Formats: sequence, structure tokens, C-alpha cells
Amino acid sequence: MARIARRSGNPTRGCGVSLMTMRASLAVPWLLAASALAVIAADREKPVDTGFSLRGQVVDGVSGRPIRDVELRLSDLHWEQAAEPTASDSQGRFVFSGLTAGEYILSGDSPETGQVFLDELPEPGMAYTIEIKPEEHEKVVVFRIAPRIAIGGTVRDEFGDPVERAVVTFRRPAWEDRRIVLVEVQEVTTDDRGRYRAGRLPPAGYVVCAGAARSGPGAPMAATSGPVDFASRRAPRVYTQACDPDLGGSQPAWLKVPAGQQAEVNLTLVPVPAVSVLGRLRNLPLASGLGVRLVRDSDFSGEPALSTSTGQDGTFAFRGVLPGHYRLEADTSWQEPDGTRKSLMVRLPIEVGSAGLEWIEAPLEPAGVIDVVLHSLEGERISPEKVQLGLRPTVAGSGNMQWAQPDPPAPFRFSALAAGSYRLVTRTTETTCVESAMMGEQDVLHGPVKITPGMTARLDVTVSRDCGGIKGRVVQDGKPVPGAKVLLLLRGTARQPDDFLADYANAQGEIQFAGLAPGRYRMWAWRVDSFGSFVGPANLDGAEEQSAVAQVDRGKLVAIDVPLLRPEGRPR
Amino acid sequence: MNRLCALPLVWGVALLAGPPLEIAGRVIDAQTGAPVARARVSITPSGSQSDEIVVLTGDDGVFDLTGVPEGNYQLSGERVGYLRGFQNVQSQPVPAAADAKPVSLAIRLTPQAVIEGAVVDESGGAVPFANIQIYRRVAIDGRRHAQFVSEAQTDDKGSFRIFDLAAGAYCIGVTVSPAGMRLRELAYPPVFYPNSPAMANAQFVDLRPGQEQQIRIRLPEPVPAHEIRGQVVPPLEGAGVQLRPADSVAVGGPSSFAPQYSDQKTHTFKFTGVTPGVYAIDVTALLDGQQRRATTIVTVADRDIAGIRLELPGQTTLTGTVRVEGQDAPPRSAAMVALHSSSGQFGASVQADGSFEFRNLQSDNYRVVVSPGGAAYLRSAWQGGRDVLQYGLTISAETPPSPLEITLGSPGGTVEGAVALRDSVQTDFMVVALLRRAGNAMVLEKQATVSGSLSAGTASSINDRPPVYGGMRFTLQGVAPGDYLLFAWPAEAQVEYADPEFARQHDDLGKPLTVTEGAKVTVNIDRALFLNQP
Repeated sequence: MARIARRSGNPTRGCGVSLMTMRASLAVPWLLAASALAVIAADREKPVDTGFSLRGQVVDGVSGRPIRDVELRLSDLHWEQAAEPTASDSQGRFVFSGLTAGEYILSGDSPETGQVFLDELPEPGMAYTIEIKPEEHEKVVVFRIAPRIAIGGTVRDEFGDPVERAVVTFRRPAWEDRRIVLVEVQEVTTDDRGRYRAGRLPPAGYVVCAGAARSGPGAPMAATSGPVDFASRRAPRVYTQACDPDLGGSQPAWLKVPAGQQAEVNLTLVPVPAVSVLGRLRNLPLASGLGVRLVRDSDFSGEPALSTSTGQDGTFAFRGVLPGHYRLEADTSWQEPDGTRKSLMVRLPIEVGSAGLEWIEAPLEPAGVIDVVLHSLEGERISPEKVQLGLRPTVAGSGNMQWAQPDPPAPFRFSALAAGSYRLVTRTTETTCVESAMMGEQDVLHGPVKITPGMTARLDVTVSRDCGGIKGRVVQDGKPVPGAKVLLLLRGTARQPDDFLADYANAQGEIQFAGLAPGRYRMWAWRVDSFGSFVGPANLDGAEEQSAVAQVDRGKLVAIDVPLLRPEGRPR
Repeated sequence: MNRLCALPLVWGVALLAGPPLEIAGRVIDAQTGAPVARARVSITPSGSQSDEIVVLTGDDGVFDLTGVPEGNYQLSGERVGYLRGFQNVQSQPVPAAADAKPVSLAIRLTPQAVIEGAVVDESGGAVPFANIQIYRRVAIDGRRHAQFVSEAQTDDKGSFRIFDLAAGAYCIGVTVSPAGMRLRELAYPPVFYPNSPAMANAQFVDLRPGQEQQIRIRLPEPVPAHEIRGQVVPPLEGAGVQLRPADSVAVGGPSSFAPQYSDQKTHTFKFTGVTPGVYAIDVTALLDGQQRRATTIVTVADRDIAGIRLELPGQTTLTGTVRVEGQDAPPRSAAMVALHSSSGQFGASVQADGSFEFRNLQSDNYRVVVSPGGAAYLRSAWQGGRDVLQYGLTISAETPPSPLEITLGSPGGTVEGAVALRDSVQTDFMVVALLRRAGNAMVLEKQATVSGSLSAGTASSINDRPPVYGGMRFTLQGVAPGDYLLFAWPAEAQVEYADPEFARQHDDLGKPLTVTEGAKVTVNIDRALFLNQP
């Protein structure tokens, strides 16, 4: 069954990485290309049966006409080059020979399209895999590439003057970490006329945002008409981002641009009052400066944090900060003379108001450490490669997921944990499932993990190879729904989903999850509209009654139909 | 836990003592003198970037900032369509009983030049995402070079626009490497506007301030392309390999005209899509803590090239001494000796005993540059019985080089004066250059930069660059005895004084003077070259 390749910082059930890097600049495809075209080491083992081939044709996704001169690359699930690149001929045809049975990722690259992956999925950063089964020595695919779209326009300031070198970002909605976020897929800058143009965008729903170029750590400063008093620098006005559609609406909306079309989006930057965030880090280990970050709790995935450095006395100052919810972060670590590693950190949620200036006292506190010990229910030796463990902050958007790292002789260790409440996230191979996770007497598989400053603890994780699975079929009115997004709740509730898996149904509307411990599981399925009319529920709590419930037993694969969720939101 | 404390605001910037002042000025168009409305003027106290304030000019181009503490300020003005302009302001103390005094000044903004155009293929079709490189004709040490300025890409319609250019002469190069075409072993050779395969034959486009130049570049037919494969010897972690045209006359900029693929495990490299021509492959690596570089010339004709070995060369040490003629003693003032080559510039300090040492020199041809310091001047530099000032310094890593012997004369002469142009030409910075004849060309002896923005008797230096003297007055010390011509030109002018044509055209416009040992010559310059020219 074809699966989704995705990069989340750690592999998902043995899959490789994904395309999250595609949200970066145009240079990224070249980086991916360079790495993919690295000369195959001569000492790599040759597969046993290389008599398989992948044959196909590249065609226009709208007209069906063949497309020539598309550079085609085939990668394995670890994004390693699986075959020498080739190019489509005058009829759009291509072939990769000398392959082994297995799963691959196919991508095409041309000046007109940039890098495109087979069967583009509605969510950015995702790609289907191609499975070559042992019984099919020649796999045939049709690589449909929808004509790209272009979005252009003009960015002006509050006076109507063009804004030069404004940064214009193009974001697509995605359901990520229990909420809808806007993922940046491309960035351009305006010219001296304030004009910008982004071609080679996949047809989809977009939010286009523009911001003035930054010259310092704070938001870009707006000018003040004179006469001006020098003291007025204490209350600067800064340019915030202007977006179209406006993000302040009650209902999310996206700009839909069909394949091969262009759109004109003009934006006006308007300055707003900004404040400064001043404060002091306490408990600095050394009389030296330390980097401090101000991370905004934003709907924009990957929005850069504001950064500055403290003085030797620990004081810091962020200027030109927009009001909002933030998290103050700082970290430092060092090695003691006896070789032990010490860490101090601060993760302080703060509310920046629109009036006045604030003084923050932020104490650096010792980080928490958790050592992980693996046990086998069957009494066997467990390879650490079969299990991945993470800690996700209980409150969505309040911090980043932390994954346990190998720490010989212990299999894993969580180091540098900030104080707070977390939920355990588990990922295993298809033949392994997590039975329990205990910190002392506390069940942290079904309950929170509470970290206090300087805490050291041991986490005992028991796994088993006697697992079950779910074979689901997404249906609507009794008919299968191909390509639907499926969410499997591993632990938690619809109101507070702690750990979940997300995947896409195949062409037959089927989805399979393996490596599940016995228990009851809820599943939801929804159809993601490629134009962003619907990318997922704003929260699962309101959709609980639309879930499918499966009882998983050991060694068994339970079949279940998952009804398609009724969409929310509205298209533009 | 959030702690909000209502403590008094602390800014971290001590307000300077003294009465408040007002900084008022006007932003004007440097070409027409017209006021520039809605220009952004950033005002920052020197050494305190966090206290920046940005003000906007009115319709009359005037900006006005009140309540300014005493101190030095850096101002920059910007407006869409103009190059950024800068000013330094020194506030003056005001008697306590007086009201705040305004400080007037002008920030001149020069209109930007723009190159806009399109790239089409051999069939006239738009070429999206072609790489555009812009080079500007500059004069370095009086010689013409093409210096890389910026690069851009055509958009999906094959169009491009490059703005924020200063006036000057520009060359435009285009490289295209379509992915699919590369795999079919075809590629477009690099092309320089309008249709030259090499920069040496390219047409330079002259741009004046405010000019928008439209150009269209048509790519030639794609040609069979090939691969170059090789290996770095010895294998080194982190070695960087780049490919460039061997006849490139450019200074700086992107070096690679073909995609490069390398395997850090086997230390092999492969360039694909290389069109026929002569190329240089540069390898740089860190070895024994030193940056090493080697270049190999490769000619690509009609087939792939394999088996290239990039070997890093050995290094050697050059020692030397500096003596003052007639004194048989080292110079009293700090002297510096530098070696310039195509690989870079290398400097050595002269010790108290007059000795100096260059370590880790690679085989190359070098130019010896001596900064005597104080009132001394350079008389000669010999190595192995060879006059290196005339013939250059050749170093071979295989053979230990003979010591470099440098002789200074002291005291040199002094040339001082002022630039007072006949016409009231508005230009902030002027270069005063003392040239002497060498055959049918000119050689620079000394130069200084003067400014009318700074007060007379002051000098401003940024980042170890030569100081700029205020009040349009200059002093050139340590001048070797001889006959000279003194010139002045705008600081932004690119003057190719080493070109014999310069001497032929401008010989009679320089102020002739003769300098003798220890003597002072005073001369005023009332004419300047290249005013109001790109």
C-alpha cells in the first residue's frame, strides 16, 4: 500500500523524511538535488534482485499533453538516490531500470515547475510513495503535473508609496499538531517598484503575507512625520505583516488559484504601536552574555523568533515588539570539571500588552533529565531502533516536541527539559507496540509527564511484538474516499489529543495502521481540499461523535469503515 | 510564571550631559537639488544602534528632530528610487542660557540606475529562472577590472529587474542549466550581453543616475555538454571544489558555471553540463590550520574528462628586512609589508629590528606593497638580485626563497593643500591623487580622500580604512623625491590611471610639482576630473 513520506524531525514508522524543507527558498530543490545525486559509494551492497523497473509518462495535469525535459529522480524512503536521474523524452516517457522491489519516492524538476513530487498531496510537505511489489517486475505510473500558478502584486506603505525589498511569503494551510497552521512554501522580495511575482506555485489555497525588511532583531520600524522629539523613540511604531486574505476574520479563508492561472494580490503595510520587552535573566552561570529568544505563539508555522543577547549582568531588551502571546526562551549548558554536563534554561510564557513597558525577571533553572530504559514484554532484547519516544508540551503551540536521543549505554535520554507538563509520544515499527510507560509509580503513557527544575527521573518503557492493527476504509455514503486524511488517536481524548498518527488513504480509500497495543482507538477521516477550503477540523472535540472506534486485539487486524468528516470552514 | 514588575524604565543608554539640540536638515536629489518628500531618515547616536529613530521628510524634503542630546550621530537617508545617502553629524555644545540651536545639513540621494530585461532561448521563448550576473567596470590600482555586483534570476516569464545600481558601466552575464536538458547532455553556454561567449568581448552598458536600461538577451543554440570528473589529492575533509571560466576577468562573484556534485566519502567530484571551453578548477582546503588553494586548467572539447587530480601545493616562508638608507637601522615608525596575488593579500608587520616574515606562502606571483609609515618613503625592494618593484616577486614552494630586502628613504616630502573647485560643484567626497609618470602610463604615489561634510582639521576613519580629511584639505606625507602630477576626482569615479590613454588625455590637467627630501609643497586644486560622469 502506498504510504506518505513525511519529515517531522523524526521518522514515522520507519518512513523516511519528507518535504518540509520545501517551504524554504527556491534554492532548496537544488540542495535536495545535490544530496540526491551524490555519487553512490562503491562499497554499498548490491541488492539481490535488480530486475525491477519503473516506467511512466509525464503529462500536463489539465490537458494531458506529454511534458518533455523533466528531470526525474527516484529516491528511497531515506531520501537516498535509488537510481541515476533520467529525463522525460519528447513523448514525456521515462524509465528507471535495475531496481529492487520496495518503496520509492518519485520527483520531477523542470524550469517551469520546479521540483514536483508524484501525485502532489494537498498538504505541503507530503508525498506519496510508489510501491514496487515483488510480483510486479514493471511498475507503470502516470506523472501528472498540474500547471503551476503565479501570484504577483504590489506592496505599498501607509502613504501609498511602494515598499522596496518587502518580504512576501506564500503560505498554505495545513492541519498540524492538533490545529490549523499556515506553512510557508515560498518567499520572494519586492523590487524598487514594490512589485513582486512568484511563479511555479502549485495550484492550491494560499495566504499571501508581506512584511517590511528587517534591519534588526525587532519588527521593522516605521518612520514618524516631523517635527519629531528624540524621546519619541521610546514608543516606536513598527510594520506588522499584512496578509490577504486577512487573518483576522472569524472564519479561515484562503486565496484559491486554479491550475495555470495567475492572481494579483496587492498589500498595504500599516504601522502599529510597538513596545519593548525588557528584563533580566537571573542565575547566569558566568558573567557573560547569553542569547535570548522571544518566540511568538502564532498561526504561522516556523515564524522566526526575535533574538537578542543579554549583557554580562543578564539584562536584555527587545525593541519593536508587537503585542501578543510570547514565550521567552534561553538555554546554556557547560561541562563541569568532573565531566558532568549541566544545563540551565528558561521557558517563560509572557503576554506583551499594547501599552506600557514591562520588566521581566526570568530565572534560569536547571533542566530536567529523563533516562529511558526499554523492557520487552516477551523478555527479549529490544533494539532501540524499533522505538522512538518524544515529549510534547501539553498545551499546543507552547513549545517544541522533544525527542529522546541515544545516550549509550542507556538506549535513550531526554536531556535539557524545561519545567512544565508534557505528554508522551511513541513511535514504533510495525511489529512493535508500546505496552506501558512508567515513571516510578506514575503511568505516563496515559497521563501527563510533569517536569520540575533540575529533576532527574527514569522512564521504564515496556514494548511487545505481539501487537494488533487496524485496516480502515474511509467511506462517504458507503463509497470509498481515496486520498482522505486519516487521524488515529493513540492516546488522549478528542478534547485533549495527546498522541496521534496521521496518514492518507490510498486510491481505494484504504489505510492501515500496525504496531498497535491492544485497546480502543478513535479514528477520524476528512477530505483535504487542495485549495484549502477545508484542511481539517479546528478541534476534534466538536467532531467526536463523527469518529470511528476500533477495538484492537493482539495479533489481529481489525477492519473498520471510517466515515468522512463533514467539512468546516468555507472557501473563498 | 510571569512576573510583571512596575520598575522604572531602564534604557541602558546614558543620556549625555549638556543642553538639548535640534537636528534639522533636508533630503535632496543629488542630481537636480530638488527636495525629496517622504524620505526615511534614520538617526542613530554613534555607538548605540538600539536608540535609532526614523523620521520622515515632508513635502519640502525637510526633517526635524528636537530634543537631541549632545553627541555624534550617524544619519542615513533612503527613498525608493534612490541609492542610500549618509551623513555624520557632530553636535556642538550650546551655552546654558541659550535656546536649542538647530543643526542644518543636507543628505543627498543619488537616483538609482536600473537594468531590466528578458532572457529568451534560441527560438525566442522565455527562459524562466535563468541566472543573471551583473559586473561593474571598476578601476583597481588604476587598472580596469570587472567586479561582481549582484545576481538575480528571471521570473517564470523570463523577465528580470536589477535595481539599486550606482552609475557606471555594467556587463551582464547569463547562465542557464535546465535540469532535463542537462541529463540529455545538452546545455546553453554562458553568454554575456548582447551575445558574447566571454566577458572579455562583452559590451558594457553605461548607466547614468536614474537611467533605466532595457535589454534582451537571446541564448545561443544549446551545445553538447560534458562531464568533468576528478579527485582531490590528498583526500581532505571539507575540501571545496569550484569550476569557473579560465579567461574570467571578473573580481569576486559566483565562480561556478556548472552544477557540482561531490562525494565527501571518496573525495571525488563531478561537474555536469559543461559546455566546450577552457576552465579553471579551484580547490580550497584547510590543511595544518592553513587555508590552501590550487588551480588546474582544463580544456573541454568534445568529450567527458575524467581523472583530474587536484593536488594542493606545498608552502614556504619568505623572510626579509627593512632598512632606512644611510642609517643602516630599522625604521622608527611602524612599517607594513604586504604581498598581493590573485589568491589574496598577505600582510606582515615589521619588527623592531626591521625584520619581517611571511609564512605559508604558496607558489604564485606577488606584488610587493610597502607602507613605510611616518615620513619615510619606499626607495627599493630587491630579492635575489631582482628588482621586485619592477618585475614582481615570484615564489616557488619547492625552493626556499631568498630574503626580501626593502630600503626606505627618510625623510620624504610632504604635499598639502586644499581642493577648492572653481565651480560650485556639489560632491561630498573627493580623491586627491599624486601620480608620477612611468613610461607612457602613470603610477600612484599617494592618495587621500577629502570631504566637505567634515570640519577642517578633522579626520574620520572607519574599519581601518584610510582616513577622510575634513574641510577639503589634504596632507600627503612620506612622498619620495621626484616629479609628480596632482589630480582630484570624485571618490566614486573609476579612474584607470595605469592606462596610457589616461596620461594622454589628462596629462595637462594635473598640477605639476616637484618634491624633494624633507620639503613641504603646498598646492591648491581648482579643477577636478570626471565630475558628473559615471
